[in-house]
Amino acid sequence: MPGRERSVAVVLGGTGDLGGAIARRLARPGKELVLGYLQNRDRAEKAACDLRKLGATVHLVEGNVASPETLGRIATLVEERGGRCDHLVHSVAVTGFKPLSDVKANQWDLILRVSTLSLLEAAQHLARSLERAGGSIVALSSAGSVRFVPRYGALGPAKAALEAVVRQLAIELAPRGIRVNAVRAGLIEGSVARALSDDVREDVMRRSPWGRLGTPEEVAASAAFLLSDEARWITGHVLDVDGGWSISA
Amino acid sequence: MSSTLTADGVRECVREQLAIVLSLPLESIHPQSRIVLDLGAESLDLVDLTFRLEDTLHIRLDARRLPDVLDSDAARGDFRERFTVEALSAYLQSQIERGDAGA
Repeated sequence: MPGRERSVAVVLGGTGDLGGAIARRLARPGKELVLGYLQNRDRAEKAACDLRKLGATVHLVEGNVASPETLGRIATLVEERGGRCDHLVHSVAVTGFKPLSDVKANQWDLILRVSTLSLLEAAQHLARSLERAGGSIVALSSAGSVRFVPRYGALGPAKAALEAVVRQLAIELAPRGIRVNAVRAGLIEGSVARALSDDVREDVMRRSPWGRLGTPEEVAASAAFLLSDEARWITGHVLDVDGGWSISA
Repeated sequence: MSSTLTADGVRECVREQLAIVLSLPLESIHPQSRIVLDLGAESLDLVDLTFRLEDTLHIRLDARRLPDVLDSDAARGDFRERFTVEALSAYLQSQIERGDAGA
């Protein structure tokens, strides 16, 4: 893709650790970034300011992305800005950090709705715009989709379902020229790592071939690759981005 | 819809949504019930409750700010002690009135 061609990216969870890093990776002159965020207007404004310094045009959309109303506002904004969506990034999750066996039914529903269903609904809302642009989708998964993570609540099952949604959409949307992939990140530095106990963090680092956690920027680089035209023959793939932790632990 | 809700209506809405979120009988939820300490709500339940109240009342809430909005001096006392059905209802009513005033 030529460096200054105008393009539009929707980043759900765009002010979080990972979503923010991906937004920074995508930001450049000619890029329009639509950042969906749930709370903390001050942090969102700060993130937008930083992205504008990189030359991007930034639109902030506050609201619960599990709500069709919020996704409708995002889709309308994209239509108003020309109706093309080159990239959709889904970096949204919620959980209560406790054993899965303690998760209540309403909590399960909330976690699956926010962390998984919102990807499907976002793809549905933006499919026409993605099709116009020959766009691609990247969802952020985590190692909890395939491995036991202590006190991860229902987020592991939610991420496993997210990956299944990615594979299914990849096939269904291919005839419309839309690619769908996922990045399965290991534990990275940031708010999730801070929410886990010291024991869990240290155990991850001890079993990592590199002896450390990943960084949001390292995960963002992989997401940007999957979004890019360089990955045009890759769809329905879940890319492990964990420094080898998943094969050594 | 929200502009037609009375204080009693908002309180009933809070009770009904709490009953759904926490799987409790409606009659066990009283105005002075402490949502965390008496009813057993966890942080994820408060997120769930927030989303449901936003949908029902057509307002925007920030669950993380609830400890602040219930007391201007957030450092005073225990948030969980002050976080009652009545206090949450009063806050929601103020948000609705503020939204109506700004409309």
